[in-house]
Amino acid sequence: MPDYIALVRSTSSSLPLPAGRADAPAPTRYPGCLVFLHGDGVGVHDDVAGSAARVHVCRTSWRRRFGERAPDGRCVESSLAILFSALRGASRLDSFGLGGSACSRAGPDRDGANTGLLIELGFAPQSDRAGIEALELVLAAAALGVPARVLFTGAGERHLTGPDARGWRQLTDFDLLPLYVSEPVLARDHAAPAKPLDTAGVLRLRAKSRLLLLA
Amino acid sequence: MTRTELPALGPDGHLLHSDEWSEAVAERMAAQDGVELDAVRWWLIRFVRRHHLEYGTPPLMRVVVRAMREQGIVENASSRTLYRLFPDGPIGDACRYAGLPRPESCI
Repeated sequence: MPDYIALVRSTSSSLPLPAGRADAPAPTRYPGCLVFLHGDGVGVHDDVAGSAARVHVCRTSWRRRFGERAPDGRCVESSLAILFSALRGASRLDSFGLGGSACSRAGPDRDGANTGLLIELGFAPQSDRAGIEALELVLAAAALGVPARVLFTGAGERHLTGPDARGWRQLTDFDLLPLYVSEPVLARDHAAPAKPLDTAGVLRLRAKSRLLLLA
Repeated sequence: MTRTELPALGPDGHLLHSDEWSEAVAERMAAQDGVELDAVRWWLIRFVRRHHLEYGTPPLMRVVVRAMREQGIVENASSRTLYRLFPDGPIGDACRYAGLPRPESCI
């Protein structure tokens, strides 16, 4: 069970590449790390294959982009179920996503009081596919019974608007996971009811979450 | 197309054109697979179809199981119940007979 997980969801992530460089970052140098490539992140598979870390490639994301061609043999075809299963035992999670910087970190609190996962979406979907893949990530957590909450911040609120946003409503209609939105400005257009939070509410939510996953 | 012919299917066995679906088409697909669509299987197929129409994705298995219990379709329903209906994958097969695309997600 990996102690450290790096989730890569963008080719423009700040995960410095290639992995063999002396100044390569911890995720690709650390043998205990699981690097999970999801969404557009599968595009960096050539760069991270062969690094010290174990590299898993989301099968669905891969097939959407590369069809039946198999990924590099040094990568493992994997699923979101594997990611969330690994998260249970991890003490650190870094997300490398939009914006080109390492944009999330795990809370160190493992005393049992703060056990939830906070999935935070702070960027608008860059494409229909990106929106669907963010939803799939959240649905996977719901499917596996992961104790998670979903927070939309800033432009991330855009996930809740537009024709493809109706998928988020199943999370609240079936009491799967609670949705929160920080200081909403588009509330009238939301396809799913999300509880509005002020800054203090967001800070409280983050503080009581063990892991923070920025998607 | 005669009453026994099927609309065009993709390599995954799902309808190429969802608008060609009807309950009669589903019955013919199932008959070709040697599957009898009884009342419980039909409940699942219709549930999956409605969910896809409403949310754009097939339902999670836990959602189906809960609905099955709440609506009294099968007493003590569980994911095992669903696999007994469609052993190769209940949601995927229900999507197929419901005229929906193969679920893409690897959840």
